[in-house]
Amino acid sequence: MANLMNGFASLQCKAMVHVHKGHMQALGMACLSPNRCVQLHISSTPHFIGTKIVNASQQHMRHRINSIRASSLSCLQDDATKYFDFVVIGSGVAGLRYALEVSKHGSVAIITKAEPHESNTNYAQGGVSAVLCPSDSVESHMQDTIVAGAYLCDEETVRVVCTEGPERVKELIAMGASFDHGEDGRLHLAREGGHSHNRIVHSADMTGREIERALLQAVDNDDNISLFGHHFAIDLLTCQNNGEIYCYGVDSLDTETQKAVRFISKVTLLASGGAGHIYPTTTNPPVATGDGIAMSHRAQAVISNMEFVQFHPTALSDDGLPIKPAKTRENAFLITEAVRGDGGIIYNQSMERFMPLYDDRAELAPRDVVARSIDDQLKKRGEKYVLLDISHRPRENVLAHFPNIAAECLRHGLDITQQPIPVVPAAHYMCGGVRAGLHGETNVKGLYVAGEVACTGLHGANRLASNSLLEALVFARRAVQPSIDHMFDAVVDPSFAKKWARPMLSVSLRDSILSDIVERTKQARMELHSIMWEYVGIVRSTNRLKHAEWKISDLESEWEQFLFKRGWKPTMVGLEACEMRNLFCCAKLVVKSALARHESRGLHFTEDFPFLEESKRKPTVIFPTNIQELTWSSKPLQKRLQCK
Amino acid sequence: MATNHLRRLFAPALSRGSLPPPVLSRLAFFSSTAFTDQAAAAGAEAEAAEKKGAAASVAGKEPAAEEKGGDAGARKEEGEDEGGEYMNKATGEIGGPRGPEPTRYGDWERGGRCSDF
Repeated sequence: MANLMNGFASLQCKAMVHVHKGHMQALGMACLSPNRCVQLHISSTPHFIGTKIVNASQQHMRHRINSIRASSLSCLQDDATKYFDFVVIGSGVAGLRYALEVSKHGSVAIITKAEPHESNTNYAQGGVSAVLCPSDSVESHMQDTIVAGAYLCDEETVRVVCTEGPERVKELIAMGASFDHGEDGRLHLAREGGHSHNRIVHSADMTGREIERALLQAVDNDDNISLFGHHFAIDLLTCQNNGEIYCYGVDSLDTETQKAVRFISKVTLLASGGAGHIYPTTTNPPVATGDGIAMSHRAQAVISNMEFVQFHPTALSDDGLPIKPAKTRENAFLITEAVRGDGGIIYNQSMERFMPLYDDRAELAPRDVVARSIDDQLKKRGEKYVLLDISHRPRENVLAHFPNIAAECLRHGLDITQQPIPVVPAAHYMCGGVRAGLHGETNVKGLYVAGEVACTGLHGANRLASNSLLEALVFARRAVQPSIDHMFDAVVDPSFAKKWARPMLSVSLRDSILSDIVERTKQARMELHSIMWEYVGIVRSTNRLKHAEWKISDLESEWEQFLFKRGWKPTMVGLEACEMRNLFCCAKLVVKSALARHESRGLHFTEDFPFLEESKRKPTVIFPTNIQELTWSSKPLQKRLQCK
Repeated sequence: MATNHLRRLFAPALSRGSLPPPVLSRLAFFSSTAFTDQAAAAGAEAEAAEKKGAAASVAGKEPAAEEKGGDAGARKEEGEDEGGEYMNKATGEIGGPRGPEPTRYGDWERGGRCSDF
């Protein structure tokens, strides 16, 4: 394979440290006005790894001193402030895996916004991909990943992940995760689309759940890890020193007691997952509101590749069901490729078969093509769903092969052996996120990222099946050593807790006002969904994206005004409002990134630039914005401080 | 013509400027060439998986096998004792999902519901 791309992490070395406009001009980049992002040429410079070489006795000494500091600080813990060496935000596979390693070196707090098992990991039922078969090879896995990623992947990241994957999977087994195996005792490896070898490790049909279970159990048994469920992360606590930004923890809201809890830490790992809920139909659980991406953007971390949102073409559309579900489905019911493979035909609501107009393979065209075709039809016709018809196939076969779909539809008054199934594309995975180097490091010192929230360069413009759990495992592990090293050097004392103003609790507002605000926020979310689906869907155009930009901006202003007119303060927090501000932030990042890419590649397709452009084969990068101009969703609750 | 417009909309993307090898651009536009022959692939995969399994057990050096062998030994005994664990006769997989191969069309499905792709 030719040297396809240059160092993803190397950009970090060159540019990320310098967020001032002036310096960026010196680097020869276009002057960045606020709210603009660029595609950059990345040159090969040595990687920024951020580790130090210390000898063993120095390490030991530092470790002892820091442990003493941590334990004396912990005596000062009260309900409002907690001190830990490491804080992990998110309890999916990345967060838990990391916690289990760093807990050997210091105290760990895991904060998670709902129940610990409630994360995208739990819903990742397919499998983990890794080279575990002797006839398979790292090169082959790399090739498959890079092809799927439309050549936008960072080659070194891909190599690292494919190389270290097998070891990470074996560790999971050692931790008690049990995967399906054959009679000979060898792991059973399945093969998903896009893979040229069997390499998917799985546990029946609930791999994610099994991994989550095993890791949660290990975390439970680890005395050095404290798990804080129902703690919603609000903003990272950062300060500036000599042009560098440092992260010293996170403010959170305990949603059960409605109290603000400040976590002060030397190292923070962000593993908060994706942002599916910027769209109306998503496979993601309700917790996936892009909190981590938004907090990082507000904390001046660099964001990358947000335009690459993976959709599944055929999720069950509740709008098309005769009996509507009593409450909105929390995460979409995806209809398998197998329905089309077994002869299912897609029609629009006028019963016109349209796939042959878009592709010779018709319903058996690749998923991306099917998704785009459906999206195109829906937008042109102003409709909410299309119809997937399998009723012409023998009844017994349909019921035998697709009992889950049959049952779910029957529950809502639809017999799939007689009638077509209403389907609509669903947002599934964010390939982009907080820009990370090869060890999960970001441009904010002490802040590491892993999992779906990170943009490591592995997925490029489109994620290969089952690579997401793998990425989470590998990067969670890789962030461990740099985190430990950073922890040795970080100095945190009790005065840190007072550095930043405390969040104000919205429960101080009158009940009636609060309930108005919650109601208005729900409405705003629905309106945002509508804008995102209509204007920032699968088939995009410059016109529609610009439309989305101003509509979102208007919507955000109106919503913020509504809040502030009723007494909401800039430092006030509440779950619904904080989630909404994160959704606004992520939605804007997606639109901005989509506007910046003047080509179509992988998951990003735009009618104005429908072709691949070799010269545009580079990541989209969003730098922090000028702080004066920002809306509530784009600023952290507190003013930026100096560290000293 | 409308038809031509639609096809052009989603025609295989050809890159402009300096061209990488055309076959790579085509591959890059679509998610994978593996989809072009799904039905045939499904049958071939099951065979290939079996053959690989057999070949690998002959080689027998994979460390995972040693770990899993221990586990599998214990589990097999349990399975035999309880008569509980399901073994897929076509693939030799133990404890896996019953029914058709979940990945036969490239995604991961159970009873029609897809959970990974």
